[in-house]
Amino acid sequence: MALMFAGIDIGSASTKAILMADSQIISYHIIPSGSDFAESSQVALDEALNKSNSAFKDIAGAVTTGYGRYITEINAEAVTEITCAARGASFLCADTKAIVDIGGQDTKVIKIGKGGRVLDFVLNDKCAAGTGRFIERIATSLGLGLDEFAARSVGSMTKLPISSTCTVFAETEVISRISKGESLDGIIRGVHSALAARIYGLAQRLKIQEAVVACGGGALNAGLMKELRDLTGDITLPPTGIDPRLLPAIGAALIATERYALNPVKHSKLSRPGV
Amino acid sequence: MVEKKKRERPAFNRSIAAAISKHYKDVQTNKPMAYLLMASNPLVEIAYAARIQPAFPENYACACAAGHASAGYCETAEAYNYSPDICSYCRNHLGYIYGPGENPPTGGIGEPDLLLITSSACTHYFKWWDALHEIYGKPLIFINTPRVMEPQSKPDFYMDYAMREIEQAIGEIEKAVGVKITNDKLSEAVKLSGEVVDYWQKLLEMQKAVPCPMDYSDLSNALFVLIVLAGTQEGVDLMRETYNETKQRVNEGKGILSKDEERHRLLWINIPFWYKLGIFGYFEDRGCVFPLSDYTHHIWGTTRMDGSKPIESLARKALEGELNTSVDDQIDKLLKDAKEYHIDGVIAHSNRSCRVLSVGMLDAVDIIREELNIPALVLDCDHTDERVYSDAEIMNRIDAFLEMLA
Ligand code: SF4
Repeated sequence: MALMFAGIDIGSASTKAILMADSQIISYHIIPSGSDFAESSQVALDEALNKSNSAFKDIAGAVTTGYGRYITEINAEAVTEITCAARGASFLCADTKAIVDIGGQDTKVIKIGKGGRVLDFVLNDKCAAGTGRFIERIATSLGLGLDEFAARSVGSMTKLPISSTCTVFAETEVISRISKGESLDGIIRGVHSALAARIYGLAQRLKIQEAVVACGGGALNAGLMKELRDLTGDITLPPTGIDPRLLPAIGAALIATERYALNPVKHSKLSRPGV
Repeated sequence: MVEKKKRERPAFNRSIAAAISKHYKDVQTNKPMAYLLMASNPLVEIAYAARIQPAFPENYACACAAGHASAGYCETAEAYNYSPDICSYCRNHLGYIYGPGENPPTGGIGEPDLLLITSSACTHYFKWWDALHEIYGKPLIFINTPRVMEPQSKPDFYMDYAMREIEQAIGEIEKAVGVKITNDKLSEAVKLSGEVVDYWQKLLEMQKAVPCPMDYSDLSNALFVLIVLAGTQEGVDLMRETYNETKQRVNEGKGILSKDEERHRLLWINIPFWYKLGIFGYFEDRGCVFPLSDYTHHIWGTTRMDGSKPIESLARKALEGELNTSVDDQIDKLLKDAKEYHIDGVIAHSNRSCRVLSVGMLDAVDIIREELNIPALVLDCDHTDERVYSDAEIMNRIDAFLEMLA
């Protein structure tokens, strides 16, 4: 039987655990990260193991990634989500030259070379306005779920631009424009468009023109993807059936596989509390 | 996890540390004392020729940041209506004045008798020194210098103008402190300053060696000697000691990392995070050294000083500092040096405080990236205001950059 490897991505918004063998996905599980990253990484991994009827001892090697990669108590090697996402993207879409990873905490644009090697990357500066939080925060303040928020953006024929570059100011701007009776859907589309413009600006810093794959939670937002496509023309999602949030976890499992091949002894000494 | 290593630092660091602590004792008690600005290539030689104790509020801000006191001082300054958009060196200093607290880092700095300012850096200076003039009511002596685009081809009348400004300032200083600054004394101070600069230039040249003999913290320690002690015998002795030891290290093939360990030679652009200098050790543990930075190589110590032409040398010094020249000139220097120092990666600090060093920086990064085909990482942060720093975000970017280099 092929050896099984785990990739655990402990992000600011969600934790994803994936199990792979022979470069095939066996199972995965995604849960909100909450406030206890150590706990969420264990739960996500246990659920993935349950789904594949396997146990922790069956894992030959693992890599953790994401902001919580050092916080987990699973003593796997830690690799940044930038390296992992690039590896995952090139595995899923061999021709990818770049990815746009729209996460809860940050947005990254990563230029990818042969074999998923990172050639260069940029991240948004330290402000929620360039990240998925921007949309989440405004949707929440309007009492709308994210799906409905995105759907209203897609359905809107008008786009009312949001000028504030700060999330908190943008929230105030949205509320004041609603109170003036402006179209809610037009405003919502303006919110998506503002984030898309910031992401596009980031991609331009790396002069990216070729095949781009979107990933991260933001890629699930149809409104944002539509606005991004309006700006960039060509931007695709991972293959059907693959949750766009899984790319770094997939990359992590693949890196674990490669490292195990190089040094099986070191990489099989996996442990976690109580195991 | 990469192991954190304790490395043996060059011995000259101990001598410089002793000089720094002596300086901070002196600035509490010595009189008369003048506040000078560092980034404008300060004409500290005039102070030494007049037996005036110089003190540098920017350097004090670095000390406060290293002691993690800056965030509190910045907050105090903001409470006194100084905007968070003002350079944190300035906010740190004003916050310290308004509320030093019980144990200010290094024991604090005393009150000035004189405020000296050369205009060749940023616009913060004028208002900062205005505020000090208002707070202390002491004479403010201003040396105006024209902005130079290309230092090599500056018009002669710029020099004439700067020399007249310096001569006039000397007269005002003499009046303010009641001391005669004789030609002999000024020539002597400029001559000593020239010796410091000569050693410094040779020291920088040695950073081209593989493995690199000094790291960024060693170089920034030596910068203290170059800027603060230029014009003194103590400065010459310390810089000579630093040079001799470094030369020996190079001859013995001794680096901060061994030749085998040194895998990457990086360029650091802009001022470091003074509250997080350990970051350079983090890089070292991962096989990276910083033989080059615009901050250590291009702002100070670029003018040859000639004791037989003191006023002319001082005028050149005031005009030629990097902060008084064009962005194009800065980029050309970086490109040329990046090649000569065998640089294979760039860390650029987009410094929220220091716009004069940050505007044009992204262009510089793009040009270096394209011309030399090397990767670059931009970190948005602040040199002194620790509240702007986010460890998780900065270290995540650095880790990804290191993985990319590997
Ligand atoms: S803005 Fe830059 S040049 Fe001006 S005081 Fe601050 S650090 Fe110095």
